[in-house]
Amino acid sequence: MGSLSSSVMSGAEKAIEWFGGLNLFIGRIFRESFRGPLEFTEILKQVFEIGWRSAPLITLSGLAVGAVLSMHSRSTLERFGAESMIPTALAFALVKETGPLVTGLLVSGRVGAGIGAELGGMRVTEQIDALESLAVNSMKYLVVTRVAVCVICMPLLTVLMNFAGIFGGFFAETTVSGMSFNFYFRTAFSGLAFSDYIPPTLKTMVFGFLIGATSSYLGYNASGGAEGVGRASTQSVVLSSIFLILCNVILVKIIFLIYPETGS
Amino acid sequence: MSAAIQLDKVSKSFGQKKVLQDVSLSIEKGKAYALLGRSGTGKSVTLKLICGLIKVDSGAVNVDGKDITKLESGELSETRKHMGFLFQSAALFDSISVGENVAFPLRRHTKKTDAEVRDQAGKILERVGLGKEYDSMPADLSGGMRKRAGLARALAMEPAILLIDEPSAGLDPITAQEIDQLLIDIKTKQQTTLVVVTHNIPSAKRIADRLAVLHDGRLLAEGTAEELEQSEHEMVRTFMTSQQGG
Repeated sequence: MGSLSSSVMSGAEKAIEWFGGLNLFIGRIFRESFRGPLEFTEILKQVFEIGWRSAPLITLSGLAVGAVLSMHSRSTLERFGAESMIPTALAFALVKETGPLVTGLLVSGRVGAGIGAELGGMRVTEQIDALESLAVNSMKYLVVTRVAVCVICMPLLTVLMNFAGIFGGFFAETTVSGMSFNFYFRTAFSGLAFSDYIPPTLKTMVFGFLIGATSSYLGYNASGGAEGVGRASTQSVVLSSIFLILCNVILVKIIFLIYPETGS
Repeated sequence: MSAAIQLDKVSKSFGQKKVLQDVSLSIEKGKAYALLGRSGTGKSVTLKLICGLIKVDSGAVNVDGKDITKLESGELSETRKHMGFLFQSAALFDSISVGENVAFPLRRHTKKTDAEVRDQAGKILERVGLGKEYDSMPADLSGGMRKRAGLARALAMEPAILLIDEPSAGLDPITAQEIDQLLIDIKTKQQTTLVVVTHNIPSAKRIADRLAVLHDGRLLAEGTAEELEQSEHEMVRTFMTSQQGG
């Protein structure tokens, strides 16, 4: 019993220490963000790595998610003779929740693991020390750039996911019912208001920050050789996904408070 | 002659492990200083402390008269522009070519054109015998070649202080001697202060004006090679003589 309570205490201490470290790290990210110079070349490189290279995964996943949502919507709505509502239901489901959340989880898998492994590898092979020894602020050069690009790219990738999803839904629906392209898209977008589209898309900037900051923290502080790099990479995916899902609950509530009509 | 580097009662621990305890040493400008000792005695940590990559627990590290333990990050960066660091693992940036590794500090800290940077980086690579490897990726080089590329990067900004961790580790004897000669040339022609961590006693004797032996985190002995060979500490004498032919 005694050893159980002491191991619980030790686990709690480690968790508090870890979160304290993460908070200090986030504080440093904000401080370094406002210090010159702007690492423009590195930002462009990361836009390509994080944003552009994620586009095929997001597009394909969007098409598949849209098709599946469309099939599910049809099986439910046709019981009530409301097949014409399929595009609207699909657009609402995708734009308001499924698109942002699935994009966040996919990016945390691809980009979070990548950042965790890349920075972890640089840490254990002394490349981060080498940067510092060459009078380069490694925090600004490696971390701030990646976090900033995650924040910038997440809404763009979410828009891509939403459109791919709606197209995927159209392909699935037109195959079954022969619904026309014009009718499908007119119906899909007719019910969507500004408050349905913009806040859920912009909330993904917070997802991007969580993915970038968590995976950078784990990679930047990795230790223990190849095993440590693997651990940083895996934990980056697991923790940024958990943070993202939990944070989503709070963000959805905030959106409902600011735009009450979106909850009705 | 004034001291380029001065450590004053420096202590450093990692967790429960005391790596350095009250280590004081002074390195003159334009001289070469070799840090010797068994593995895990804090030699590489000492180099990182001098560069400010690790913070001391107590004591002061003066580089060109400035206590770097008290510098703001901007001031520390300015100080580092006058230092070069060759890491034990070379620590080349593996996402860019060997030439771009050498060009990296030149691109960031000078206003040279792209052509000038490439030209200078190429010349430095030639100096370490890697003139044809500008476009090679670090992963395609042997361990010894990576080490030389790391040295080329450390030399790129013509630093006043050069910190070198195991310059001859993993090199064949001929290349190791060439690197030693290169370091001696840098010291004599550019008046660069060298701090070399090595296990290779003949190499240390060739390069260094003074040597120090670290043992269990303490400075056991310090002096010229001849003085250390006559040291009162048996461990120092054994260390200095056991690798005479190495």
